[in-house]
Amino acid sequence: MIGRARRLATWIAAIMFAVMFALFVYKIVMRYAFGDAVAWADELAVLLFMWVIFWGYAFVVPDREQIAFDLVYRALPVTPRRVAGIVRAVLVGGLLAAALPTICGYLLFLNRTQTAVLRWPVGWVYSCFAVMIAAVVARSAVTVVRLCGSAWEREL
Amino acid sequence: MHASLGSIVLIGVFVLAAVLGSPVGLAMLAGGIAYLLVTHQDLGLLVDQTMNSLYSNYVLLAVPLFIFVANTMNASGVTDRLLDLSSALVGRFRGGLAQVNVLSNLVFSGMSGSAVADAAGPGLIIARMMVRKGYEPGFAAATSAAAATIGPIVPPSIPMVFYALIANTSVGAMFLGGLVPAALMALSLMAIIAVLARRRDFPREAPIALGAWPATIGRAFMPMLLPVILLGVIYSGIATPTDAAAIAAAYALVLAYLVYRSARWPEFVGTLVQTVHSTANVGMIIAGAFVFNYAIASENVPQALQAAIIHWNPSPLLFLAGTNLLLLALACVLDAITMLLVLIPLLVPIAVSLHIDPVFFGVLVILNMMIGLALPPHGLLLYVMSSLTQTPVGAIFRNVLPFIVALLVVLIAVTLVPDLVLALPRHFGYRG
Repeated sequence: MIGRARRLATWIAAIMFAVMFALFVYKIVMRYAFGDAVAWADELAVLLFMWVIFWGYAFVVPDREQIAFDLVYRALPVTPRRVAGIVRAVLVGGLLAAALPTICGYLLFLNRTQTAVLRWPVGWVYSCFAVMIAAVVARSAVTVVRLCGSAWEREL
Repeated sequence: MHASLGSIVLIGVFVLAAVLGSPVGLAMLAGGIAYLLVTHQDLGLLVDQTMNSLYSNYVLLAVPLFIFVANTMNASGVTDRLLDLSSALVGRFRGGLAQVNVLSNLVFSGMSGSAVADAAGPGLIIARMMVRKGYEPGFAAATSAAAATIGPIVPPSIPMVFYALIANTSVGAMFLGGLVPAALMALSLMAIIAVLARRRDFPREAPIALGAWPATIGRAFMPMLLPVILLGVIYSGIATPTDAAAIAAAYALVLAYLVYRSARWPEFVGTLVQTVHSTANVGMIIAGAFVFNYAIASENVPQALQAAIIHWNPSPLLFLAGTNLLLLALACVLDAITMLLVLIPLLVPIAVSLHIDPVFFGVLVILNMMIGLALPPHGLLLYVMSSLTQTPVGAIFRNVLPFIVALLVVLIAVTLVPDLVLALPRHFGYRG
């Protein structure tokens, strides 16, 4: 179930990237061959870039692949590592959870403004940021539950 | 310089989260949130700082495109062609395959822009070949790791795009400025290999026949055109660096899927997915750094630091030496992109106020970071090579030390002679 959802999310991200690249090619051809600066393609490419980052971080990139300074963490014996994992998930997940309601409120507020070219409501366009925050909060919660449970060693 | 509550919370939360193993981007974001909470600022600033900055910094789009170029080139088997050419050029010397490793990294890095991509691509292939030829595995992996540091000094370069964005300098001038230092790095590594080869009696490769030369050059010609096209379109002013990155990606796709037909649909999908992974990882660090840097800037840390250093009044050379030491030391604990995004906004204004050219300073900074990538005990390249080749890290540490010495010699030379960086961009019209 989760595996299938992640595959779907990966496909969506890959397609977003491919469309972003196609927009670049289209834009370059239009500009140099026809002298037409297609500003909408520029804007859409930037927005796709932002979605690839946050969508990808929320649903595609596995935790172990992320760039972390884990020299200390990995050197710990298992029990302190379990504690460190719980503290980390509570600290980071907690702070992001604390910020999430304000972020969502602010995004709704931003819907009063529109993007420069496509005239899309900014709040929805930027909503990938809230999606990423929510995903990290959810993942942190799962980590805490698992590390506190009986099968905690599998989670390390 | 008194630390305020805000800056203590910011840095405290960031360091704590990072040490507990949190990904760097998230740790910076968490530090930023804690900072906004204790200073009673609006948390909506998180959205403004990340999303508006990403939206308005168009040049950042070059980063995923360069990642895509590197992945496409790696998937297309272009490496073999470059390998054959390098082998023809330097294989017949003692320790030939190690020399090939350095030379082909120099050539390949002209298409990738990322040291890790170079190590995982041609670096891995040649390291395996070296082990089969009887080289010690630790030496083979160390050679690939050291050679991969050349990558981001040669255009295209992802760190250089970041630097140009932060320091507000020309990406084109940065790209040209890296060429001479990169050549020096390759020369110094090759010199060390020549010495070691004699001492440890490394094997030679069979020289290729005279008649095979044109075909070997011909096979490598089209891939090697890529950096030329890239620099050409940027420097002639035809295209922005971002557009140039897209042109480079299109060229790589045409080579891989139409001209050589060496890669097909599964490789294409794999390349896209890999690119998404890297883009999301790097993008999160960028997003975290935007928030982190906002907090640092609103606590007036850059101004305080600048005032403190200018009060101390170092000579430019002393400042550069201090920067080298600081960056190399930090490279032992931080990753290159984080250092670039967090430290450069602090250092560049000081460098400029000491009349140090920002392009020269940028190349020097990136040189430091790349050496840092190969520096024990935390150098990322050492771990990448260790996990890819299944060699113990300790064996790689031992073998990489002579290469580190060689690279440090280049670093010192560049620090003392800025013209090694600046002569080329100036020749092509950079005013600085």
